[in-house]
Amino acid sequence: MAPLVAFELDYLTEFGSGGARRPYLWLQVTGPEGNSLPIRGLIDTGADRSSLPAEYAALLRLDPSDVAIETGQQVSGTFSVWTWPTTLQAFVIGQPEYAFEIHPTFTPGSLTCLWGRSDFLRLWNFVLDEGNQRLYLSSKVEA
Amino acid sequence: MAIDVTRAQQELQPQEDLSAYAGQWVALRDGLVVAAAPNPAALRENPEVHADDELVPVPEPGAEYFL
Repeated sequence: MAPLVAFELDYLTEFGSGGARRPYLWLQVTGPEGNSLPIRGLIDTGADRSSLPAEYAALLRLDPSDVAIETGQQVSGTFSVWTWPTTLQAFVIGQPEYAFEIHPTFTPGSLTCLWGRSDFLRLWNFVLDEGNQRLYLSSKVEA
Repeated sequence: MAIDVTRAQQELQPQEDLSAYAGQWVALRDGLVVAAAPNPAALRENPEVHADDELVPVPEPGAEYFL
């Protein structure tokens, strides 16, 4: 059994457009049939659970017959999200021995991946140093 | 171990400005854009895209503030 682990990363480089620098983190996410993808998401303490663009449902081969349509909410109002009863296996890329489950929603029209509180942040302690644009993560469970 | 995480994360980082691809999905190989398309299914159909390329959505431009 591997011990608890902690590490830090900077987010000094921008991603995409707008010049914004945000605490993104790559996770390796595996669907129920075993196909696995690296996904870059924003660690979001305001997100109740993790969220992915809807296109990832097909990439992760989630069964369309199992989807449920639910309602999400953001500052500008409500929107529809797709959910599945299935959880997904994930690990922080570079830290494969610390696998965990995430249970994301899938949002049509979204191009942003979010790692939220009820799945990702339940298993990782997260400290943000915005002044130095560094993030700190430490595992809450042993591998 | 922390160095491994940093290196592994940095190896996946885009090595070029993706702003020209905002609103699309891109296929990245070694951090460089191989192809762009409106969705990942279209990327998968592109013969230039390999099965192990990273498929990444690029957020829309103009998002000065993300809420």
